[in-house]
Amino acid sequence: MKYLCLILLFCMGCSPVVQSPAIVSHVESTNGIVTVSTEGYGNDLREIKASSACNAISRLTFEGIAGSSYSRALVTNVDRKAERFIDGLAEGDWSRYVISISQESEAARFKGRTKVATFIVSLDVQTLRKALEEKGIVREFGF
Amino acid sequence: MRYFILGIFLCTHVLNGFCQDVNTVQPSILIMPYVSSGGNALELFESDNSYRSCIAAIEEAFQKRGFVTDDFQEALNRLKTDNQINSLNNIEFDWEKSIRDNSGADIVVKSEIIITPQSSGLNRMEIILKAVEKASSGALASLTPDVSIPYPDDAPTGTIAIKVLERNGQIDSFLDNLNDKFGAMVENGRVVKIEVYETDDSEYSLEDEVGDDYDYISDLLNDWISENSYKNYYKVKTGNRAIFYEIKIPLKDENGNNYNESLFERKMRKKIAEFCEMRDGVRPRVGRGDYQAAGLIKFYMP
Repeated sequence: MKYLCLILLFCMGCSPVVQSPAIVSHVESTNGIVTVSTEGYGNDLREIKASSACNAISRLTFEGIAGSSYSRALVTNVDRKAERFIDGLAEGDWSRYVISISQESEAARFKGRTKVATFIVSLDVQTLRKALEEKGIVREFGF
Repeated sequence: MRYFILGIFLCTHVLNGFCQDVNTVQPSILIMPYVSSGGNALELFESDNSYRSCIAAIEEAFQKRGFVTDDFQEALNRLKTDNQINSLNNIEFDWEKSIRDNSGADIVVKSEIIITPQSSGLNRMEIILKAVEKASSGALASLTPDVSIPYPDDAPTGTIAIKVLERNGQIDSFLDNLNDKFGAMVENGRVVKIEVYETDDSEYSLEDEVGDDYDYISDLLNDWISENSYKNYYKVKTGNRAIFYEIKIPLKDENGNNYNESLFERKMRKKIAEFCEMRDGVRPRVGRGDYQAAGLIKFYMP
C-alpha cells in the first residue's frame, strides 16, 4: 500500500499541468501597435514572461483582440506552417514581434511548481503580419 | 567520399533552386478622388490643398501596409500632356475614364471624402473607399463610413484623414478584405462577359449548321468557352445573340506569363471566324464591338 501511494504521488508529480486558456485583454491600439494585458505560466519569471508574450501573439494572430482595431484574426487557416510558427514562438521568436513587455502582477502559485503572472505586452502588428506573409501563412498581396 | 559529399552538395543546391517560391508581384493601386453628390472631384483636387492632403493621406495608409500606389497627381499630369491642355476646368471628356484607361494600375480605389460643417463650428470628416479591379470592373472591397471625427477649421486635414482611417482599424479591415478578394480572384480567375451579336449585315447566323456534325455555331462557341474558361466556369444565354457571362479567365497562362481579356478576345475572335468557315473562298471577318465597359467583350457575326 505504501509503495502504491508512492507510485501515485510520483505519477501526479509527473503529469502535465492543464492550464485554462490565458486571459488576454485589450489595453490600447495605436498606429500598428496593439497593447494587451495577458497571463503567462511557468516555473520561473523568465518562462512566465515568454509564455505571456506567446499567448498575446497567438491570440492576435489566430483569434484577434476583441475591442481593439485588430479584432479580426490575421490567420484564419491553421495549417502545418502555422503550427511551425507557434513552435517558433515558444523557442524564442516571440521577441521579434514584442515592442515592450512589463510585469503587472506578482507571480502567484497556479498548480504544483507552475506560477502565473500578468504582463502588459505591446505587439508590432506590421512586423508580425510581414513575418506571416514571408512564412507563407498569410497570403501576400499580389499576383 | 569527396565525390559523395560533392554529390550531396550539388543535389541540395539543385533542389533548392526547384523549391524557391515564385516572387509575388504586387498590383498597383490608383487612389481616385470621387464625389457622389454632383460635385467635381477633379476641380476639388486641383484647387483645394486640404482635399489633396486627404487623398495623399489615403495613399499613405496604403503604402504603410506595403501596397504600391500610383500617384494620382502624376496620372493627372499625363492626362493633361496627352490631351494637350493646361487646365482641367470645364473639360468635356470623361476625365475619370481617361485616367483609369491610361493608368497602369490594376486596382482603382474611388475615394470620397465627406466634410460636414457642424452647428458647433467644428467639421466632421468621413471617408468612403471602393476598390474595383480595373480589367473586369469587379468590386473588391469597400469601406463605409462608420467613423467620423470632429475637427476645427485650422486642423491639418491630412492628419484628420489618417485618424479617420485608423480609428477602429477601418483601413486595416478594408485592406484585409481587399487582399482576400484579390487573392480569390488570382485563385479563381477574373470575370469577363462576352456578347456575340447577329446584325442586319451578318451573313452568318448563330444557328447556322456547320461541320460534319451539323452543330450550330452557338453550340460550338459554347463548347469552346467551356474548354477555355478557367475551371470551366461560365453561364450562357442564347437567341439571336449569345451572351456568355461570368466567364472566368486566368490571370496567368500555363507558362506563368500575364494573361488578360485582350488575349482571350483575340483567341475567341479567331475561333468565331474558324467556325463560320470560308464562303466563296473569302475568310469571314468578325467585327469587334466598341470598348464600352471594362470586362465586356463584344463581337458581331460576319
